[in-house]
Amino acid sequence: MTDSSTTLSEHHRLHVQQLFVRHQQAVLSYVLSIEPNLADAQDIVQEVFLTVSKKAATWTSGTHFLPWVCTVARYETLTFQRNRARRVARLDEDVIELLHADGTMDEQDFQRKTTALQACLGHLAPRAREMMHLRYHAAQMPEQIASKVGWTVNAVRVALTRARELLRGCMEQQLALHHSP
Amino acid sequence: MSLAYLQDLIDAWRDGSLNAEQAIELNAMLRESESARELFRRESEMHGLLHAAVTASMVEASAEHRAPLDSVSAKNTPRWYAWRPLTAAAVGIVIGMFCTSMVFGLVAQRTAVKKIPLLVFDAGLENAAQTLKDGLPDRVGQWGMDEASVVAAEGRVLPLQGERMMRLEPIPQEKPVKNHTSRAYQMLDLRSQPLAMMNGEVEAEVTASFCAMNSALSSRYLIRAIALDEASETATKNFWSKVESDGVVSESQRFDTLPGDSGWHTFSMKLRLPPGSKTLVLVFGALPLEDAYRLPLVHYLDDVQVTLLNPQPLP
Repeated sequence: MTDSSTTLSEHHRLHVQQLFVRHQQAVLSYVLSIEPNLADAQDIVQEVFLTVSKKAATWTSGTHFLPWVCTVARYETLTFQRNRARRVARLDEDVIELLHADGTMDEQDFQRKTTALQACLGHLAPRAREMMHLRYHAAQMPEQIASKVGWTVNAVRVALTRARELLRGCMEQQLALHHSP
Repeated sequence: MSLAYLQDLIDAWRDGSLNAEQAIELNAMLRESESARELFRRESEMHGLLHAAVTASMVEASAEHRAPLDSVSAKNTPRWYAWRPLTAAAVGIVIGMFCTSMVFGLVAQRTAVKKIPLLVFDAGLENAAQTLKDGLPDRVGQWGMDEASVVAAEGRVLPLQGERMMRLEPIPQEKPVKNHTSRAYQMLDLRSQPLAMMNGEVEAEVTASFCAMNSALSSRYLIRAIALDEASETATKNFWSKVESDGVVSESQRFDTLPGDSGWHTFSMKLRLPPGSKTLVLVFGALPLEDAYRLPLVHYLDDVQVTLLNPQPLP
């Protein structure tokens, strides 16, 4: 390989790494849809970064970046679950393929939904908002939240389910509002 | 298929409480039914989106409520350590030993630290073809410098890693500048880091290796990290005036070598990142110490690493 082609491939790899960093939150969100444990998902995202850096040459500039990374992320998640298999109870690989084979992520769609949800969080009652923060920011499970707020685990589960339903409804309204002519 | 039961299984999957028997049931339902898969996709997508939205809202709230006093700029750093260095060093060691044991005791009981390497552009300084920006970089993915070049081995000085390193030229005494430290700069964009990490407890650990061409002289090395709540696109405009302002947190550390300290020296420093940090500017500098000040002394920089240290609560 000549010096100039080495430099070109280095530039391309750097470009891919920069794009990855820009889309990292979307990739994490995608991985969480397959591996719901936050700490595991964050580990997987780090692995995805390394793989994407190694395989940078297989991505062509000008084509959609996020779908490519999501495909890499799906395989990395499967490998992670196969190798570490911390939990026996998880989805089988063929089921994950059925669920995600044709489903990738659209960056604009992700941004629109996240922004809408962010606005909707402000409409929640303070207690419900606190629970969402404990569940999704502090990554606490309903049992841990229950002991923290002094509720039963079931009451926490019900509250989280209601909050999620409210947020989904609000998000869909917001999206419809912004797409209406 | 009961929709309510499917919902219960999905909730259990998301909350990590799915048992082996339930997993078999959930897998079977998802294999057999497209409507079950549709519901699962909706719920699992929502799980990822909620994580992103909640953490983003937390970061925004933290940034909005940050009091100006939270910003500890370098100008406020106590200067006592610069006075009577040996006394300060001895006191520092004693305090350090005490604090280390205390901190270790506390940390060992309560937290672990997750290390996340940050991408540093040409961290090994291997790309001889790159254009080094004169002064501070104006974008991510670029080295800036006062007077420097990327070189291969020179004389007895071999790169610490790889085949090249950065040669920091001495800044002549007669040059009318405020600071005669020969510096290299880089800027990192923190905006796409997992937002959950930007909770005010994350530290950036910056490590770099330095070497002097002539180890018979004393050298002073500097690592400085500056976190700004401004996007990288504009962060380095009027930079040095901003460094003194609120919204900027800066920490710098100097490291001295004695005559005869030959070879490469690796140094590290840490900066606690306030919530809402968007850009991290790194400065690496070298200059001869006073007794050798009038002699032009070349230094080298290699193997720059930046790691985010994120404390994790232990279960």
